[in-house]
Amino acid sequence: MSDVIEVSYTGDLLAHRRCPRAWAYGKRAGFHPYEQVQAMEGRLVHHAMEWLTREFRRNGDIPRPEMLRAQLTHYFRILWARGIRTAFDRVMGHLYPSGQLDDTVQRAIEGALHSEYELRAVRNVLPDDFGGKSKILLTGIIDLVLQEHASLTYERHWVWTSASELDGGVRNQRVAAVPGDIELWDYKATRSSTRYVGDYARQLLTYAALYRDRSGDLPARCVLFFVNEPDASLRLLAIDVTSELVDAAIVWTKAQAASLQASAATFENDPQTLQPGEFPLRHLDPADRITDELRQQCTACGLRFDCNAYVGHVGGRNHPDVDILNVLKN
Amino acid sequence: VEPSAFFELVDEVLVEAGRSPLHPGSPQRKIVEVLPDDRVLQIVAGPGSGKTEMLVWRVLFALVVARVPSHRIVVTTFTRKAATELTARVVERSDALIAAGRRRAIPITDPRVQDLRIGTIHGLCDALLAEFDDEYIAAGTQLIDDIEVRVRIARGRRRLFGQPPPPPLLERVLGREAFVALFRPPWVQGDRWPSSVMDTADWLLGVLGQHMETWVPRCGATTAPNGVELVHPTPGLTADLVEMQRLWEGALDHRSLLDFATLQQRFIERQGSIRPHIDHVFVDEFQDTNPAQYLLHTGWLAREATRLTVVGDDDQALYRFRGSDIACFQGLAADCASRGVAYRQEVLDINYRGTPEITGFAQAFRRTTALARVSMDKRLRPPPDASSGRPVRLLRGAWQQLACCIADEVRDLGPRQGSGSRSDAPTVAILLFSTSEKGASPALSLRQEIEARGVRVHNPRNKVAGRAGSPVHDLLALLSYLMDPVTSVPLQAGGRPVEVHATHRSLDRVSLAVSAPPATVRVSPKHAAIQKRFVKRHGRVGFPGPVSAPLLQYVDDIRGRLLTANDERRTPRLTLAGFVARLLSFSFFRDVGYTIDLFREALFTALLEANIAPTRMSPASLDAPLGPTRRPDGKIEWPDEFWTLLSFLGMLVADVDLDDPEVEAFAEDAVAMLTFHQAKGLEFDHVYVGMTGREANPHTVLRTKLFSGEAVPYSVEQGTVRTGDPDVLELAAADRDREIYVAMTRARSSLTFIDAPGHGHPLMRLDDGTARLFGEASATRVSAYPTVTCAVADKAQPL
Repeated sequence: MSDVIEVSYTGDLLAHRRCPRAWAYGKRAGFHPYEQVQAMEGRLVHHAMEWLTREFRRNGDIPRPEMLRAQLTHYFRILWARGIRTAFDRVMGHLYPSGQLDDTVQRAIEGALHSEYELRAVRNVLPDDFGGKSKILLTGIIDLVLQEHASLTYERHWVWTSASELDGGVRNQRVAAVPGDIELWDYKATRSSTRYVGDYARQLLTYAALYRDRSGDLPARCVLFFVNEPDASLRLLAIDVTSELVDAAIVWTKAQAASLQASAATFENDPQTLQPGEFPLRHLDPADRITDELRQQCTACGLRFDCNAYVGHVGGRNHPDVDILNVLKN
Repeated sequence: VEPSAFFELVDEVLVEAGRSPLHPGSPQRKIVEVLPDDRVLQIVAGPGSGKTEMLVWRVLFALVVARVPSHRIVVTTFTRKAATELTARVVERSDALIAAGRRRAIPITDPRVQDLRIGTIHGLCDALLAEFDDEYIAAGTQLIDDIEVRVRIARGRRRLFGQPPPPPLLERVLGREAFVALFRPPWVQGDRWPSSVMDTADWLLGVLGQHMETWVPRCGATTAPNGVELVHPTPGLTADLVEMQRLWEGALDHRSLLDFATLQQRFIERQGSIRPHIDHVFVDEFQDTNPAQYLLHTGWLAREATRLTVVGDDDQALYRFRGSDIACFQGLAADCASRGVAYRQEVLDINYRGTPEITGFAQAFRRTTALARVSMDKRLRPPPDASSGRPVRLLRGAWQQLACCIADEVRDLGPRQGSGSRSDAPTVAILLFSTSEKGASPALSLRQEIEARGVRVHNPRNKVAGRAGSPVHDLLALLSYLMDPVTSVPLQAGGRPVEVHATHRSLDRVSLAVSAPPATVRVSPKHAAIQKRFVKRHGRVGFPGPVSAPLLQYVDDIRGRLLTANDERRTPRLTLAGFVARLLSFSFFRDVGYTIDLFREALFTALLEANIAPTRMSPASLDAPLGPTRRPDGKIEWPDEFWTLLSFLGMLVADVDLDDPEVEAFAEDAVAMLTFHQAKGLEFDHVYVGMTGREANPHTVLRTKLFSGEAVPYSVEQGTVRTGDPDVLELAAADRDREIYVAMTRARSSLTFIDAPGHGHPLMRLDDGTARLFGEASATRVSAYPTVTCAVADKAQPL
């Protein structure tokens, strides 16, 4: 049997932090979610940014929106064929609001070279902590960004307040990139006020550690791009990177993977005992583990009808979201 | 990086990983090095010989020393799981190599292993066509899997293949008994086959696959007739098969779809435009290549600069029944010679997996069975420094006691059973030719014995996932009850109540049903039979018992609310899948724990999705909300597309032996009960091998030869094919012996054969090849089970 646990940072680690129960039924037992919450938006943006940069460098012009749409359809036609079209519209809307390329996006592609970079890394772990497995294959996708002549300036900055605990917060503090800087970018289909920004920052630090293994160097910084943020000044967030921080991020990520395995073990003993709701809030009452952002996922979740956290959060089984006799909602 | 420096780093990494370094001049080192004049390298790799490790290092040599860009390398694996394992190994070794290089001040540029094209042949064909072939993209072609192909053929077979002149094409081909019998599974009883819609769909799938993957690449260019037409009076058969293929491809094109066989063919047609983008192609498990795939893999060689590395073991070729032909693997050297392409062969024949006893037994089996006459030249050996282990055993006896004895042993081995297990708990596998649990099968009784001792067993090919009482069955029953509830009413006033529903064969019963019959489609009543079985297991029609009453009441309420919403012109948003999600929240389903029932619930959601998905491109989407309406006469009307779905799901659950899903999360923490075919590529600490006594059936070998245009005489007796052709018989015997060889070479620490000669099942007696190797070995009685004896293969014998 396989000695490797394949762990996707977004599809497993972050999904498990949102709701271990939904993650376990989907990933461990194979239940087909009947209303897919599409996690493809970030992937589409990665591809779009690389393509926009390449086209800009080749032709010196910003491509028209219909050209990008054709490119996305070309590359992601399987999604299109399966009727998943809303993600295309949303991405187009983010990048070309009102039919014009977004200012931040334009500055990003004019000033830097973006290339899509799939990260795959293997980490050895103790089998006793990981259900008898000794290796984790960690997968993720980032943009590798090389700053060029018109380098970007970031107005917002994630400051680490504790390197060992990997805690931090957003400060309005200017950071200027210089030509030659290598950055790791990731795109999030949320607003900048998301409560998950800390998770995302730790995710990028982990990617930076894996990038260091491959290249021998750390990136100058990491950058989060909140593509669903209407206020252009809040879209980009620069994140400090140091050796100490990325080492701590690897430790943090391994701990998350161990939590994931622990949830899997609980699920194997009794699926019903696996607790739903935000994993970091597991010390709270079930109903208090549903945050506003998680609620957007819960409202379409096929497991919500007997979920003690969500049922409690909406005030009981008579709420239309969890009323199993309500035919006016799917 | 120079080759010498590369090999220094490789040795350092291998030693770090607890492996031996590569000795200069060893076959391993010759395999890793990509020589300047290499065009085709064929690696013949026995079981446990470390072929994956060598494949990984050859890929890294190509990247780091030969400087081939990673996106110009293709690595084809047999399964997606194998692709993941290979990816993990490449990443791990690449990172270790870079780190070793840094330590020795040998800078290695990031080889971007993440850009290697690693995947199954179908996944890679799809991805490469998508990237390099504009026409493919323009067609918006979507790849569909075997389940969806089966659905489409079952639903559309009459329309697709009902072409004039009479008799229609489908009937014409089905009427040729000598042809049809070639595809009949040997275990099917009774005269008539195919007898159901799903049998016919499976037969059509087999025919189309063999035609497209064997006849087209081997005879298509010359239009040589199918061999069946040469040996039996079946004029026009080849033309009919060509027409069938044309119609099927046309139907797929019309919907912008591709199945696996058509995808391969499309790829071969367009390979010329992709060839310039690829420099080195690696193919794992090459022994299971079919003629179309062989054409595809060797098609890369049309470009002078492209190299081909293939890995496999002719002794482990198992997939002739799916169209693969071992002649592809064995004939590669001669083919290269005839094309003038440089060819090199390396052999890996040291088995690092098993003990010397297991390896010796396997080698003796090769030498004394049909494999000796048809295999390529090699000798399976243990490593020189291997420590001796337990002898290979044979447990023989009356089945009931034998099963108890095995179950006791398995329990005492302390196999891995979930997260609470020790990390060094051993893996145990029971490998049987057939793991069907239908009826009083050996697999079922053995599973029950093992589970009675508190040990979990996973059998993904049990053929009973949809049987009565399974969640698959019950969820469909409730779906059927929603659309077409069976009620009990008298046909006439004062008469005896009878069961009525809208899809009953009797029209007077249809007229009394709650739902109106489907308007334009023909619906099989099998869904209603499933519904009735569910209702009657928990009560009676109209009088549900306490277990089923809440569920049936809920479905009644939902039906009522859907109708009311429509009456009130409010649009319901509930879909079929949403309805099933609600049903699953009932304790009847949710309280199953972490058992196979949980995975069967998941299986039903997957089956529903598989049947909804084909309609997504059509105007009548089954993702649409449920929309029943009430007619003026009070009857409930459902859109025809929902009837079609219900009809098909009914036939699927009633007529197809559904298997449990192969869920890794469950399977890894249970004793594996697997067929020989499923065990391929896996390894276990302790292995029991049983049901080895099958006859050598010539039908699959005949199919290969006949579809290759060869005129091999054969006859059909009571639906079964017979031949006296010595070549066919020998190949058929070798096919059977390979299965047993693969099973025995999965073992690491202990290997035990099972022989139950008194059992009624013909496969339960030990095969002749294995029996010969135990010969006269003295057997001792197993104390707790008086009818069971244990014989030990003697190492001193010339095994």
